[in-house]
Amino acid sequence: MSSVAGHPEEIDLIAALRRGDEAAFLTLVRSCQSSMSRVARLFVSSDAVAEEVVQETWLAVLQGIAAFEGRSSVRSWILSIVANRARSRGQREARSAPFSSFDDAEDEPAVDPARFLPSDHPRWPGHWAAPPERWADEKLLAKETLGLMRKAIETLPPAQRQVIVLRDIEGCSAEEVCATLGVSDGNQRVLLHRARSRVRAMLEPHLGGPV
Amino acid sequence: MSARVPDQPTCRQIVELVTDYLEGKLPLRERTLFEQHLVYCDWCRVYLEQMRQTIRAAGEVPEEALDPERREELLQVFRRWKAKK
Amino acid sequence: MEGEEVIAFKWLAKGAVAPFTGFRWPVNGSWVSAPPGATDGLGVHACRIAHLAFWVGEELWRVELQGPIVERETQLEGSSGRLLDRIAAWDPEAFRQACVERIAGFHAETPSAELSDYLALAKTVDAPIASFVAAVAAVAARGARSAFEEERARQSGWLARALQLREE
Repeated sequence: MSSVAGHPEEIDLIAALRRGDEAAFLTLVRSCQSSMSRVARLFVSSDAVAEEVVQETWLAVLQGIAAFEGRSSVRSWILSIVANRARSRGQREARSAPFSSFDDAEDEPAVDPARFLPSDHPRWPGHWAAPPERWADEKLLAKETLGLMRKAIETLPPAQRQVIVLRDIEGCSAEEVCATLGVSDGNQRVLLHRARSRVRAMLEPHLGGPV
Repeated sequence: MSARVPDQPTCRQIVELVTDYLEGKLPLRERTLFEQHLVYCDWCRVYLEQMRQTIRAAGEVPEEALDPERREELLQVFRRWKAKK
Repeated sequence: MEGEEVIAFKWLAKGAVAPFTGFRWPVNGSWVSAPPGATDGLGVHACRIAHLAFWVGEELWRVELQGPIVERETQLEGSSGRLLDRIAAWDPEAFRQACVERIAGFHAETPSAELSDYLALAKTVDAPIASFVAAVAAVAARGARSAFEEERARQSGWLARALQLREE
């Protein structure tokens, strides 16, 4: 998903959809469905509800395609629709706290403070005491690591999980995430920072390093 | 990084600036100090690389395949929409 | 400095790789531009001789930057740049040794446990770290924070002499 305007490669696809071309529809379903489920699941309490939201979204997409202006990619447009729908559904379910309250604002450090020399160290205060170790790329992209990654993301507080899934798994831009979640650029970045830092820390024992 | 030169960022501060750095949002002065720190701190370079690796791995989390039943349901949605159009 | 061109220097990791972004610079002299709309600080960087010590890396290149060029505290930033030639004389071990000797000099002048620690550390690390430790040791020896930048300037002067560099 990119935020570049125009997307000439999608013009044919959009035209085919508007004509009611079933093959074009299935192409779009294949490329978006699993991301849509993932995004919907960020806001609602069960897979079943997420699937309902996704289904409704497809209808909304078909009804809206005639008016789609191509300011973002089709995929990005669809993901923002599914996120918005799932978000209001989630609020009705009263599961997720309103996002704007920025609930998990407690000041959590990116790295365990015990891994640094104390701030009154006479030579190197705040310097690494237990430094990170290099991770091998092969192990990083192994199935086991990616599974661990998925689990790590599931343990995050909802706001952090929403941001990291949209940004790093679905590849949305910062602007798209701010618009979809209704947060400021600064808050988006704080949430992203906490989420990425936590996930890194959770991968560390598996990929090599202290703790 | 040093008690003698307290205006240089510490490693503990660097790890909190990593996301702003990667997002291109560090103010110029901080960005310069951040990069100068990386010049002499191998460990923070490793840390920065781990954050990049974490982002890369997130992008590789596999998508689930669409099951045939779901596909059929969606086709029904599509056909109904087309009929009404 | 709109449209101006400047010859300056650029430190890179082995294989002409940018140390922070991982970008591999073309060594055939072709131009590389910063992404359009790149904000302050995200252009193409190089430095003057006076600031070489702040950015020490594995390879040193003579580069050409194209404007608009902004001159900052310790670096230059242009909208595009290209590598001209590599300074083959760059010898990290000789520079590291010079930094170690410098700390040994401080320690001989005003012996202290702190300077002794810095000396021991500098002997075990690579050139970029040793030069940083030497600048910290200068602060300890002189008792003035400004000694840090002075030592960096001195190191840059050492590099310029050893590598016979001159501003163009």
